[in-house]
Amino acid sequence: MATSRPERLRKVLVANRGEIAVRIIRACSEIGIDTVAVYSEVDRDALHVRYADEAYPVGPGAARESYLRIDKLIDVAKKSGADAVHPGYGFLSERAEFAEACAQAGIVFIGPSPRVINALGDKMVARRTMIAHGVPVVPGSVGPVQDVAEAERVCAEVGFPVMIKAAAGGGGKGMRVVNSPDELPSALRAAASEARAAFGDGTVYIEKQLDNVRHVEVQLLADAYGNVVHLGERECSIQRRHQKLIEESPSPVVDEELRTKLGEAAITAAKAVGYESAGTVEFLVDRDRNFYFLEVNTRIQVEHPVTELVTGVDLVVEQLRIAAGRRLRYRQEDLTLNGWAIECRISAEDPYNNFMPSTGKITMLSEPSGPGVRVDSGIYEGFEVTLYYDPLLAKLIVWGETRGQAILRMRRALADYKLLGIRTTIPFHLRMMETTSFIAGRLDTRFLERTPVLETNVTGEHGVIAALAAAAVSHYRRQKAKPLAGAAANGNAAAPNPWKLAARAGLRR
Amino acid sequence: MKYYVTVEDRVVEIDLDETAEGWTATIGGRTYRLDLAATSGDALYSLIVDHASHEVLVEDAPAGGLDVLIGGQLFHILVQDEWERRLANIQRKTAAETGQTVVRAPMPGAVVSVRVAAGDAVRRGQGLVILSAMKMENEIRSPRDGQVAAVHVNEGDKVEQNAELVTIAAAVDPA
Repeated sequence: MATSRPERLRKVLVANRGEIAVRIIRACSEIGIDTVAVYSEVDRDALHVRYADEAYPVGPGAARESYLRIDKLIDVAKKSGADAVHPGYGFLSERAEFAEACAQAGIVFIGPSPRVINALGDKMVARRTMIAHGVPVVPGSVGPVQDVAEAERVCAEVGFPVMIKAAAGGGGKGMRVVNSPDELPSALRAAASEARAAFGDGTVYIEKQLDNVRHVEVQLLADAYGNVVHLGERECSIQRRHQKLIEESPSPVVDEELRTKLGEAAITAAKAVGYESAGTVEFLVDRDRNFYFLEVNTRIQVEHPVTELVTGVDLVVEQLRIAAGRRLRYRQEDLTLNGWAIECRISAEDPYNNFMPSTGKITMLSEPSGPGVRVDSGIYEGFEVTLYYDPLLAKLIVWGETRGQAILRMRRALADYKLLGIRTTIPFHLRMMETTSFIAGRLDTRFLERTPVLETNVTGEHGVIAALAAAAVSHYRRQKAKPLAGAAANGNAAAPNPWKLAARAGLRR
Repeated sequence: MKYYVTVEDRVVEIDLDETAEGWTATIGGRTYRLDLAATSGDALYSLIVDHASHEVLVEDAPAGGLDVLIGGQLFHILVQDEWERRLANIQRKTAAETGQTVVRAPMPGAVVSVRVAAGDAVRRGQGLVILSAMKMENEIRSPRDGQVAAVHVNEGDKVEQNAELVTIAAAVDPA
């Protein structure tokens, strides 16, 4: 790359919003880097704007008119004198043209080079590269699938069910499971149109849908000098419609031997393309512990904190160091996994109603704390959750010496999480932490398809207490609303009940 | 004082009395001693039920009733006294006989598919429309049993939040 690297970064523009923008700003401020936030019209009151040293508006609420506007972001970077841009995840994080635009403007893009993003962003090119380097891949089409006839040929070869995937894909968009030949034409059409809408590229390919597999991914760090280390794995099998909900590190199924093999495969993948910065290589692991390459994510991942908690490495700080041209400060033998970390994604979705997005003002918020608890959050009390962006509000991450301890700690932290005004996925996570098969670590990517729909347990202990609380609070409010009428009704028969007076004094705010 | 407490779909009767020793609540013959104290903020209460200490968040729900959060679980609860309940019952009966329910878009988005047509009988929870928003597809389900009186959208339509999607009317009585 032509961009010369500054000795150290002085000012970083964070081209994102929400919890990840806050996360990046925190890392920067800890190592003495100034930060520049960008915000859309609806995000004027967002947390990242308050936490950053500088803040610039970049347009209306719709992301394509603000957070996805490369021209505006580059303009702000120049105006503010930022010497680097951190893209976070989502938005422009895996768009080679953004990395290219940064390079053109003489600004460091915190991530791999445009060439690497392109090579790995095209999932089919990535697949072919892995095949060439001996990394096992999921059976399927070698190249793009152009028409139904070709799709039928591939399916006949690998067998149903298959998964249609967008070449430019990610985040579950443009993906379709097909169970039989007659579903193939419509699924192909739907996947291609969704891919075109989401990524501007309707190219799709086919992979066999493997049964009873886990999603296991390997975290990498690579510097500009060809040094690559892996930081162990994350298990992300708890997914709903290909969106991860719960992640953990290590994986219950990965032992030291498999970890070494996965790590070596991931490092091979990174070296094959000359990778730089933090990155993640995703694999599927079957029951016999065979693994298959899925794709490489060329950005910081939502679930990166679980790796941070078990390795002690701050991945965002390392990204910043690598971007400034520093050498990796860890050798593979320096990196060991200590204890167990679990992350629950707290989203503005209603688990009682098919995970329907929930919007509105957060009227009350008290986040959990205490030993082994980390909350990466982008919200506060009074914050308005809109439909403009991803529903992820915050991530609750816990650490325990063992998986069992981490689960118990997660239960405690979830119960301590107090948020009102909108519906969130907290009740779903609590239920998962109490589900036997989850506790036993028997996970696979279709785990949630077998899990019954969440229903409010009105007859359980909490249901009864909730009913009592509602009645008591209503009663209290009624009394407060008409104290004179109450006194009149009671007449002057007796002196006021001393308990009641005491209670009222206690209730007075 | 008698309260009818509707927790989600289930109604429980709670007799709440103020005694010399404090408040008591009786549900189905079982009596609990209650000690309620408001803490800081508008919504956070400490509730001691027979010496068991609970932290409870109670807030007015946007659509009426109360949102009660306890132990990480959220309950939607309606508390009515005798008179309020009677009134609500009358209103509900009228609505059930003549009323129509308009199912609206909970978010702006695009209609991916319409699963019902006018005249179809629908069950509560049945999918009516698939709406794509935030690049994800969401199934909009029927809030009640009934019959589709009208479908207001077509496949491919872009809709704003609160746009009318489907109108459900009371099912024609087969008897």
